[in-house]
Amino acid sequence: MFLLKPHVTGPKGQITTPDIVVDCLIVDGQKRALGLLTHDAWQGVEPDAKAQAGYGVMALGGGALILPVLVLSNGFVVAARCAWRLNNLDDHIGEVTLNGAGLSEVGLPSALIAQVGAKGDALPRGFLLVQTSGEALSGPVVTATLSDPKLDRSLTHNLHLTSVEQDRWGDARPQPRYSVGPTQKEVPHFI
Amino acid sequence: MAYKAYAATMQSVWFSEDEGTSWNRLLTPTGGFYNEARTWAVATHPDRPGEVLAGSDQGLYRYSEETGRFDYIPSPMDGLHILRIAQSPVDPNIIVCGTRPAEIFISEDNGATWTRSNLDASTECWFINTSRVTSVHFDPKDADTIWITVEIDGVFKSTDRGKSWQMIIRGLHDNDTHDLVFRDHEDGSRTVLCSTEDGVHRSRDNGETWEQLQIPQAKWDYFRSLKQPAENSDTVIASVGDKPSGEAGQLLISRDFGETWDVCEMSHPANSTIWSIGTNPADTSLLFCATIFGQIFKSTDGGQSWHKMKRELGEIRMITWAPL
Repeated sequence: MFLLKPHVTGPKGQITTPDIVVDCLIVDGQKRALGLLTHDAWQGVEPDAKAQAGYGVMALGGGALILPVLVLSNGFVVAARCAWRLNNLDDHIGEVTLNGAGLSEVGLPSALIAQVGAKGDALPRGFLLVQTSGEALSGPVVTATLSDPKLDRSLTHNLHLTSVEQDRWGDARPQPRYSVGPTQKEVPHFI
Repeated sequence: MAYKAYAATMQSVWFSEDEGTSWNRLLTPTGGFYNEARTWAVATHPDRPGEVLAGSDQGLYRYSEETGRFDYIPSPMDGLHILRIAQSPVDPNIIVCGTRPAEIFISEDNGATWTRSNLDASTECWFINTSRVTSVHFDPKDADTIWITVEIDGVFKSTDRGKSWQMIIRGLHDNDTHDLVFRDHEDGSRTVLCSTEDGVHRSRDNGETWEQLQIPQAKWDYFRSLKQPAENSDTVIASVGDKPSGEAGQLLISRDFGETWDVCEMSHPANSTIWSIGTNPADTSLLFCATIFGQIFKSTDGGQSWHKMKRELGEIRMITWAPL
C-alpha cells in the first residue's frame, strides 16, 4: 500500500488533508508496482533521465481527486502533495490544462476510468490512474502544472532531479566519527 | 495480585508497577521502542501474562516480561496508525488490528503473516479528514464474528472473520461511533450498546437497528469509552466529554446495562474527555481510566468512585492493566 497525502482544495476553496490508501497504480493503462509511487520531490537519477508530466485521478469520498504527477524514465511515479477535489468529474474538465495542453488532448479522466473497466462514478477505491502527456522533460527541475481557467486556479508540482553521480559533500566528505563506519578496534558504545 | 498497568500515549507506552502511583517508560536504546512513538493501543491477553501488544505510528510491537523489551512485528501496517488491537478470547494467536486510514488487518499466526481485510469503510471524513477505526471486538459468542466501530462511518460486523463486512447503522443518530459492549441474556437475546458523538445507542437485534438512549445524567453527548468490569455483566461504565479533545469529562455507571445511569464519584474534575477505561476480568473491582490530556484515575470499587493519581502523562489514548 501507499499512503497518498495530498493537500486538497475543494471547488469552493475548502481544504482537507486526507491520507488515502493507494493499492493499485496504473500509468497510461499499464499496471505498475506500487513501490514506484512516491511523494519524494527530490530524486537522484541517472544523467540521461527524463520525466513526463501527467495527472492522476483517484476516487475519494463522494467525488474524485485530480493531481499533478511526474513520471520518470526510470519508472518512478512522483505524485504531488496537492490536489483538487472534483465533485463532478465531467464539469469543465476539458478546459483544464496540463502544462498548457488541454486534457481533452492529453486524455480525459473518463477515458482513464473506462480503461480499468469502470465508468462514471464507479472508479474502484484504492486505484490511482495516471495519464502522461508524452512530452519529455529534463533539467534540474521539471514541472507539471494543472490549470483551471474557469475557476482561475492552478496546481504546480516541481520535481528536483539530482544526478546520482553527485556527492553532496563533494571533496569535503568527512571521515567517520565515533562508531560511524568500519573500525578495527574496540569502540565503546555511546550508551 | 501482582499486576502492571499500561498507558498508550503520544510518547510510547508507560508502565506502572505500583498500582498506578508511578509510571515509567523503557529507554529507547534498550527497550526496543522509540519512546516518543505515538502509541494509540495496548492489548493484553489472559493466556499471555506479561505480554503486551502496542500499536503505534512506528508499527506493531510486542513487549514481554521475559525479555523486558519490545520487539517489532513486521506487518503491512507500517506507515499507518495502528489504533486498535484485539486478540481472540479463545486464541491469542488471532490478532485483529484497526488503523487510520480505516482498514482492518488480521493475523491468525501470532503476527507472523497478515491479511488485509475487505473492509469498505469511507475513504474520507469531512471532520477528521481520514476515517479511522475506534474499536475492535470479537463477538462474545461467535469466534468468527468481529465487530468494529469507525469514526466517522458507523458500526461494521463481519461473520466470516473479516472476509466480508456488513455496515449496520440503521437508527444511529450519528455515525461517529466509538465503542461497543455486549450483554447476552439467559433467554438467548442480546443487547448491544454503542457509544457515539451523539449519545449511547442500544440494539436489541444484534446490531440490525439502533435506538438512542436518553441519559439525562450525562452533561454532554460525546460518549467515548464503554466498558464492563466483568464479562457479560449488566454493569457498564461510560465515559463522556464536552467534545474531542475537550476541557471536561465525566464517568457514568449503569447496573442494568443502560436502562438507568448514575454519575460516578470523581476525586477531581476531569481536564478533558475521558478517552479510555481499562478493565480486566481478573479483578472486576479494579479499573483505571485516563483523560486524553493525561490524567489517570483509579477505582477499586468496580467503578463507583474514582481517585485521581498524582502522576499525569501528557496525552493518553488508552489505558489498561493485567495480572503478571
